[in-house]
Amino acid sequence: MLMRVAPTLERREGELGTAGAGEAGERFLRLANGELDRAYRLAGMLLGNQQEAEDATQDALVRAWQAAGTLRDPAGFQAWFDRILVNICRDRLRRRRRIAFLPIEPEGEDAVLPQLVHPRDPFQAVLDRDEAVRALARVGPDERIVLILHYWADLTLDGVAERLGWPVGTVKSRLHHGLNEIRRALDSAPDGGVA
Amino acid sequence: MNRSTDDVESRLRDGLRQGSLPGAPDALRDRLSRLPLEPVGSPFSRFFSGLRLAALASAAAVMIAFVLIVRALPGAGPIGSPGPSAVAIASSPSATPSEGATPTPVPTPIASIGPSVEPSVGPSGLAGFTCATWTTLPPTASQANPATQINDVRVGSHPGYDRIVFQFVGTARPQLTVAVAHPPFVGDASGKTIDVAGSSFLSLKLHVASEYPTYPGPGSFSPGYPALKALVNTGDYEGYVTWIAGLNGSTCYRISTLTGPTRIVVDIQAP
Repeated sequence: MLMRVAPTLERREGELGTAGAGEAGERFLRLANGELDRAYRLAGMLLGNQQEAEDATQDALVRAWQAAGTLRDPAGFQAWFDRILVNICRDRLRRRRRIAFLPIEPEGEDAVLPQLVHPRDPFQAVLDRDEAVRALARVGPDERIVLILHYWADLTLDGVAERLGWPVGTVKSRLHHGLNEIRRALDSAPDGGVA
Repeated sequence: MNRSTDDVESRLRDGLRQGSLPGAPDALRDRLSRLPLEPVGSPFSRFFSGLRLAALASAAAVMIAFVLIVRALPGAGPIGSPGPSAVAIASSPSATPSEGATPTPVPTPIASIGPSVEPSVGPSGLAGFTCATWTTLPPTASQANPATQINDVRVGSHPGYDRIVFQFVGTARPQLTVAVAHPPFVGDASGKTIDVAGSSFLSLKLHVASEYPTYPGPGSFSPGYPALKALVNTGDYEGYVTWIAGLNGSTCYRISTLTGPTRIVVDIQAP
């Protein structure tokens, strides 16, 4: 099932808040189910491929379930769940940088390098589409997360800060550094970064 | 060529939003649907478990008052009074485990008991069992030393109940959540389906805990006891150690703790 790229950050305030104890679990599942597509796409955009997106979202679901007691305000379910998911994705991105850096696709027919991502991975396809977006691969994990949350998920800087648990000033700083990296990448592109 | 920030921003925003993205795969929805129905420690269940504890406290107060009144009546001797044992059961429902030759029972901290069923007294007259959907025993591990290591897992059978014991290195105890569970059971890291014998099931989830490398024992037990048919380890993953207890119909249990060495004891009531 293919869906439009731009996410719809619907608010579902009050849905859990009206639940009784006997229905809390059921409503939690329903709410999580309603967030699942959006959360999976966010993980995919952050991590760049389907397999890791699925793993990260599954981890987030389990952790959210186990940490349900930390959800102080049920109206903030989306931001709370995003925070868990983004933290998991951030760990994965940071680990990835520590472990290895391999080409995503083999170069030429004779290449025997491991193919980490399916060539028709829909997330990778979006992330390969434009020079500015491709340059996201060059920025650090924190900058990448801030840029994706702000420009893809369309969150305000306050919303990004809430999901990362950072001060807004830190978010602005990461955004600034990330944009500078993208600008440098575009300026150094052979065709001047024209898509 | 120098670009304005606006130019870079609009390139990025437009570029990210081109194309189509898939929705969540069926495997994820399936994983979600297999979570237990009641979230552990949700604000609502905490609220209602608070009400339940308040009700238990009220019941204990009424029983104490009853004992005092009975004792104050002329001719009511202390031997015939049902007071002390009844009060002891109501105020410390799971503080009397007996495991090994010289156990040192300690009062069980207040566990957060899930909805659905009041603590019950089984056919054998054993007190402190609950058939609640889930129960959480809080940890003793501190922030400074959050991880606990399991170094032994044992099972045993006693009149009226079967016993599962988790033993830990040192004095810290992890959180334990006991919850009614339903197959299929999936290995935490592998995602593979794991078969567990039994007609009813409890999941025993320890957090923050690890078995590797301190627990060299078996990952599954098939004791075939009256209540406990099987005990299978389904995960030691990211701080969560999970065992599934395959039972013989009953899902009523009692949680208690022991020290020297530190242990968590889960008794399964015989059907």
